[in-house]
Amino acid sequence: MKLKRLVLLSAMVIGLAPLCRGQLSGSVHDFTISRWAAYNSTGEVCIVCHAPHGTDPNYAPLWNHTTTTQNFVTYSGYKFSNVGRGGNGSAAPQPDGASKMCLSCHDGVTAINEFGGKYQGPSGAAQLFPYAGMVFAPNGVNATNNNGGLNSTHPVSFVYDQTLATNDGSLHNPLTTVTSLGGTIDGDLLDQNHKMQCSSCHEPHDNTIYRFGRISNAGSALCLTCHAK
Amino acid sequence: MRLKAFFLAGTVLLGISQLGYGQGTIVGSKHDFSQVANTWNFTTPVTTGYQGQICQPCHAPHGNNITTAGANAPLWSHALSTATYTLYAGFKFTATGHGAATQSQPDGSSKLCLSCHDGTVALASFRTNAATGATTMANFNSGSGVGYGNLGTDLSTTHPISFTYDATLASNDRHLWNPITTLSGIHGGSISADMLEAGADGTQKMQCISCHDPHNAAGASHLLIKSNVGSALCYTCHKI
Repeated sequence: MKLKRLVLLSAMVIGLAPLCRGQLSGSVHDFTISRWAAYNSTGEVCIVCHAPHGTDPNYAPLWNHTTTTQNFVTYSGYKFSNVGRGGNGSAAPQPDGASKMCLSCHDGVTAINEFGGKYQGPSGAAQLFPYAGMVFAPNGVNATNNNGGLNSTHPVSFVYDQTLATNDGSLHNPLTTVTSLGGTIDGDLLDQNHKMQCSSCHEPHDNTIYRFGRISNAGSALCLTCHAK
Repeated sequence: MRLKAFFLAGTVLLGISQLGYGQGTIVGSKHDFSQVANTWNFTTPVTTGYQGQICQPCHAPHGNNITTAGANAPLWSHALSTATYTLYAGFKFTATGHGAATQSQPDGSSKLCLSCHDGTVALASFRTNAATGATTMANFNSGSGVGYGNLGTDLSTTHPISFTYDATLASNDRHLWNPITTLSGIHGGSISADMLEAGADGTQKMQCISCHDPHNAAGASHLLIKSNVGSALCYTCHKI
């Protein structure tokens, strides 16, 4: 009987570790799923984006995917083009940081199967993102062709600080406003340079919340985390 | 009863996956240096008397020419690298508040790995032989000369090593398992016990051997300490 208890206990303890992980396994970012079989023969989930060796140090952490070289047309809503409303008179900056990594598949121009330094898969040919709804800048051709359309998408890669919040008038103070994750907007949602990125709304490693949401947007709760409306 | 049977079956299955450890062997692996067909290109006189030995390039029972490798170097026989390395600089290592791990130049047993795998030391430079100018790991990679076997001296492209991985780091990082309380699934102990190495400062550090077993005990690809199918090795420490 004692042995059985021990066995039960050990099974539960060992079982707990994988259960605690977010829902990456089986999601569309689990690159061992069947639709990736032609391009990922390693059986590894992470390898399409991250590798332990031979990665691109410009795009930490351990970035293994070829990075987009597009020069994007960025969002130019009036708060970005109107100096008096928080903007600096120009469109949102070019994507950087984590957003650039996301766009290395989701721009619709960079081959999704180009990682580890080459086009993966038996054909050795480029495979573009096949689902139009998940592609955000499909019109670009290369770095010199300035028509990758991010202008229809929420801006990214801009600094979201107290000054912006004050000037804007309808954004919460990122340093003092608490999110439903328990920390501040700055700590929980912005990157280390205090920039909003794709990763401010999306957690690419966890699809527990619809569309890899970092916070559920039921009742527009995610929008209203930052927007004071 | 059914529940019990289910748990028992689960335990048995888990047990089987752990049985993998110990089933591999260095014989016939990429670290079997006795292979007639091995491509190290040992040159005379280095091969004389050593041909057919598996261990000699790394360990010798007597007459080792290295005395500086420290306590983590059992009978170390290979010449060490004197390179200074460019370290990994991902933001968790450079930004305070996101874990702020600190790393040193490679130390501990990683120095031993790098005595071949940084590409600066002649592979045949072991025991009393100084095979300067001979074949290095850099000769085994085409193109840039940097590949999986040859890391080079720029380690900014490689997972960080030689940093302290403790409960504090895990707590600050938020995406790492607590190494003290989390089982590794390798030897039945914790991450800290099964995968980390005690450093000179007394802390438990991640090193090359946290992921790789140079002696291939697990028989996994790339001499991994356990199979990375499903990224299981990554997930052992990374909580994502």
